[in-house]
Amino acid sequence: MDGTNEVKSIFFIGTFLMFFLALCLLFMVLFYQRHLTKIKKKEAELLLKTALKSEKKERKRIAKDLHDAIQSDLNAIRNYVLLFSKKNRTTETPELLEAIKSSLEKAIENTRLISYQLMPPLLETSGFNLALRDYFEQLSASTGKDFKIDLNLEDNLVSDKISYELFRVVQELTSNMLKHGSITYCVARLSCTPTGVCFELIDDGIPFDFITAYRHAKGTGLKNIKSRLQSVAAQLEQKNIEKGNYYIISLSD
Amino acid sequence: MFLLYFVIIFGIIPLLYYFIAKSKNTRELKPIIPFITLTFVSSVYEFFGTLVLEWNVSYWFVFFEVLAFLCIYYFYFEILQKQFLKLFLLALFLFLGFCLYLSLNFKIEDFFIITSYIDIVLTMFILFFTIIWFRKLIIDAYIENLLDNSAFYFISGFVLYYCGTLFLFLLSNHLYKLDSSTFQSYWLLNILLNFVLRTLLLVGLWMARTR
Repeated sequence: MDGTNEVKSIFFIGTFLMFFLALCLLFMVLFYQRHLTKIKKKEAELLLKTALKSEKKERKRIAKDLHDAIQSDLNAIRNYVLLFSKKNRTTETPELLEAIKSSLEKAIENTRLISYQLMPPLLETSGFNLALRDYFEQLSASTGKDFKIDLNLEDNLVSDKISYELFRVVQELTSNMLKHGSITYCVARLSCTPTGVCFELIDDGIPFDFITAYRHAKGTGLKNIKSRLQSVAAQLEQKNIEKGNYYIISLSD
Repeated sequence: MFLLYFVIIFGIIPLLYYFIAKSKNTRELKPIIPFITLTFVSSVYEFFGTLVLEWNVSYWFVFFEVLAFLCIYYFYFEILQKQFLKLFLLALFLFLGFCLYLSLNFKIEDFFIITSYIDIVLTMFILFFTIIWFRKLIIDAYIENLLDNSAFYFISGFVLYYCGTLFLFLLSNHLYKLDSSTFQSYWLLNILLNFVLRTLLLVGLWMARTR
């Protein structure tokens, strides 16, 4: 009888212990793995933020160098050429001088444009709204498309912390519209929501599914948009409209 | 008795599900195919051979344990991507040596003892390679969410079933000899854990298909 009870006890205790250990092992691994994934995600986010920050810093430096050094040198050369052409009116090669002048003008304009695109000066001095207005005006002038903004210029809804990333996202989206979208107009709206700020970008171009395109993207453009938005904890949504595209970027406070 | 019939019939579902809802992730499911095939075969055999025709279960019990070891061996060998080759070879040689020892020292009438010994080896093998898999998983961090991974469900099934039934198999000879009439109530644990294992196999297959 004692033997029977002993075997039964061993059976129940042993089974319970083994089953309990098995469950513990599985749960422990499950929770530890989740915890580790979270840490790795955070690390990746931090790395991304650092990369974007250093990219911003580098852009700023290059823009400054372009503006202060190369553009100044080019202006000086232009002045020398002007002086030279005035002093040598009898020169036998006026076409050549004209060609030099026009090439110089082009080089100055290009450097100015590159410097502006690298770091729009208005973004730092006057904020997102004015920088966007300036950018849209330039786009309208250079492409002939209708780029409009629908926002109060005095309301500074976008904080300095995220204005740079948002501006780059808008730059990326508008250049995609111009390259692949065949748009005739584009409107940008900025409004306040209970959870933060809502930025909308609407165009009448060829419909484009961001999520699908992002999954199959080979280039860096769409990935840049996603990582920039991720770095400022913003969400990109797309609304279905009859014609064109409707992007909504939600920025939390 | 209903539970027994239910669990036996339930065993044919994983393989049927695999063929009916043929997954895109066949590469991911390749390691488990031998085991679900064995589960299917054992269900059919146990239904017709053991329950309907009442054949002697001793040979089947031993044969099934050996086949189960080989199928599980293949599963871990594949999911660990043929790493740890030396460990796998060592485990195989030890197992074959152990089988040889059992065949020389025991008769088929002692099938409870034979299966209990094989079960201990199998449980140790599962626990050892499960820990290796988890370690690799944590070091490489190549799976974002374990709950989306079919291999995790298969491994959970193996760990729960073999750990839960270890003492049952280990003491089955004693329990049967002590009181053969109440042995069925102990055997209920095997049936219940078989149900858990088969459910987890099915969940794993479903996960691979939906992902």
